[in-house]
Amino acid sequence: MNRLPIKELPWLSATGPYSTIVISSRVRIARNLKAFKFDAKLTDKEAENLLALIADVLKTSTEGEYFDFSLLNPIEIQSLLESHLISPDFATSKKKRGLFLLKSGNCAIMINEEDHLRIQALVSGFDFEGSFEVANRIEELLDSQLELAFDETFGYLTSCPTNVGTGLRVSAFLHLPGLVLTKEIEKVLRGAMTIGLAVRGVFGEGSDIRGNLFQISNQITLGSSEAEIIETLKRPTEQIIQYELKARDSLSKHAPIELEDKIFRALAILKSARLLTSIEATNLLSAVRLGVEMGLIKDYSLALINRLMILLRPANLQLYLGRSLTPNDRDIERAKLFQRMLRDGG
Amino acid sequence: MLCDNCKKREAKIKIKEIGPDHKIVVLNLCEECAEKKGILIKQQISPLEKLQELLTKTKKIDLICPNCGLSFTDFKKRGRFGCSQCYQTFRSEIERIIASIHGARSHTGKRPREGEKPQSQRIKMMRLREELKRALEREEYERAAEIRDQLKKLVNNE
Repeated sequence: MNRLPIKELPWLSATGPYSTIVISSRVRIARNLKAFKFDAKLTDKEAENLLALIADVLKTSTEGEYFDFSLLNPIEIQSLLESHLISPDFATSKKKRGLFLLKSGNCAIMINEEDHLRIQALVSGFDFEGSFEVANRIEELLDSQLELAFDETFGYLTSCPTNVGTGLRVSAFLHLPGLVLTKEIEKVLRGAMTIGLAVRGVFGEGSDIRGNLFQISNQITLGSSEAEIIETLKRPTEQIIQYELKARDSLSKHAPIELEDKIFRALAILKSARLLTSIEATNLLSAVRLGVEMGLIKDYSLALINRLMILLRPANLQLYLGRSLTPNDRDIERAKLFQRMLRDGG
Repeated sequence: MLCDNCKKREAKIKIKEIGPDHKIVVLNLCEECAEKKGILIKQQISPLEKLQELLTKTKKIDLICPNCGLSFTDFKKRGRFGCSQCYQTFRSEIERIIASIHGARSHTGKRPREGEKPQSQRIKMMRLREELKRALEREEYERAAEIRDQLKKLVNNE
């Protein structure tokens, strides 16, 4: 089994709308089965039955691969996290759990996370509807064969009352170097927060933003329809895209040499360094990405940049090279990977 | 000191502004007016933080879910339910909590087995749900109950 499906992950393809700013759009639907207790009260034995039941329904009604987490090693689990296919809690959980990955690569179903089912769809670019369609198709498929926990008033019942109702979380994964460089990022993100959206840096914690990568998502799941939730996120995302475009425009008008220097200096380091930590590589790759996105660098595709962004992460790097490495060896191998990939164009 | 803007509430924030004649003007504002002027941004807390805050304020009651054995005290501690029936068991206690987290009392999104219904019926249900939402917003509870009955009929009429 190839446990590293990076090559086939469609969300890295940079083919969706506005992929020069929105790397991917994600939809997550939380569901529980009526017949099973929730996570807090589920015994190991019951969890095993739950996994077997859901895996069986998925295997018989759609094409994909099921991963039993008791058979995966820690590096493989970490790699799934680094590829955005599972949540951090799911990666570190001690419970019986499994993941079903659709053959198309655009949908991963976590089984026995905080809820029995966390259906996540990930598509390239700014495309919430497309992402919802993928997740919704799987939800309907499961709904037609399993009885889901539902209440007339509260809607779909979830382990935590913050997810009740639609169980829907929609998010966009954004690259916003223009707003960071023009120091407008805080204002823009705060604007999103005041209308009730959650904003966070994707790698790194709190204010330690790496690679100018951000995630914006809805928080409220009850009281609005699925279409309305998508709409509440769509408009502010559109606005952020416009602000970012303006910021990039202003940079190329007012500081073109400084901008190009930053981009080509980053490229030179990535091509020539002999040691690269994942933090340094992520930050430099952001500058190179900006160069590709703005058409200043023409030798590489955005799909290659996306692939590198995921491959440079520690577990992915080790799986890609097929051996486990010490942190120092990883920095050496990461530098070699960048030299090779940027020389060959992938 | 009273707020320079509304002249009603206590001023808590002091700001310096450049006035129309290019002179520095000192303004003392209350939190509300500062927010209106876009100077102070209210820190939004996440639904999870809100839940925790609400749970600490919730009174203790002796109630145990007959299906999974989760006590209300357990729920207060962890903020997680033990099974779908907990929602029924603790309904009157959690209605208020859920409403203040989400700013809404009831679900208006999709429902189980909707995909199997004919398109016309799905559209009808969608319209009814929108109407239901509007009725609830206007606090027309009788009308809301009527719409809910119609919806139930459509759901059960498979």
